[in-house]
Amino acid sequence: MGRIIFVFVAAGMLSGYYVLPDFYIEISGIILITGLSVLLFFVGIEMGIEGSAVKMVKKAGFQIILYPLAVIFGTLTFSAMASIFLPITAREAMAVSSGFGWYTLAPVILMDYSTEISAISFMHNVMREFIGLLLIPFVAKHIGYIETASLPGAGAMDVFVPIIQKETSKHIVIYSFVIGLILSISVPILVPLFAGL
Amino acid sequence: MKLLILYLGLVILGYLIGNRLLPKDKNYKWVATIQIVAVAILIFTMGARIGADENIIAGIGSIGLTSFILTVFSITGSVLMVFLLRKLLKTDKRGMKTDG
Repeated sequence: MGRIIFVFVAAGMLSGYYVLPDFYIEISGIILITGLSVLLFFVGIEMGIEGSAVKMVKKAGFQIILYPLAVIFGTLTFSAMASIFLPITAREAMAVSSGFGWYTLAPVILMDYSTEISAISFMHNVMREFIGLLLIPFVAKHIGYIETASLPGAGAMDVFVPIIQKETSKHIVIYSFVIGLILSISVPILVPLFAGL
Repeated sequence: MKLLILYLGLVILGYLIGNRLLPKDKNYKWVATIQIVAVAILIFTMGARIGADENIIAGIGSIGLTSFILTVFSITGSVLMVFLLRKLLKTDKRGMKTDG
């Protein structure tokens, strides 16, 4: 999946720069909103079919919910602080960082706000997954097991589960899953909220 | 706010249909296929908008630096807050409760 994404972004950028008619760019807003609607509807269906999400949280106990909330709080406050040194506002920084590594969703939502912020969102969210991945062994060894699940963001509920399990232990999977799940749910809420969409 | 309600409403609607109406014992590979096609169209269109915007192409270096700084801060904030919460909940480095 990852490789296909980069092929499509690169193909889009090259054709946008060289060949695509202005017409496509003009109607791109409608394409993006329609495509996002279809995508999110089917993301919902998939979650509904699996259905195990709510059960898993119930089983693990209420306290576990506090961990994803800590990740959200840490991400938002620190990215707002970072905006002091950056050419973007605190609200824009939080709209970007609340993508939590979901680089196929967050930047598309932000297209409706600004192309530049959307480009920052894409790069940031790719980096969050990638740098998060690289840091998992270090954080597991020197800081703590649960902390590893906070590194990649939304991906902690699927693609990162086997990696986190390998570097930590089996009982961390539930933390990873719940952190990834709550972050995933919060992406389509927080990103439009901070962007005022 | 309108788009937020639209997107969230569709996720919830999809969840309810998937959870209540669709039989659980069938193969739903097509759900994943539709998602991949939608993502491909979205990502291509997003790339096209970025590529067509000359200001962005000219400022790609500064955009990369901004993204990197945001990533370092986001990850630091996340790990720090989880670390503090773990200490608060008396859980050890390996994720085990210590107050027995």
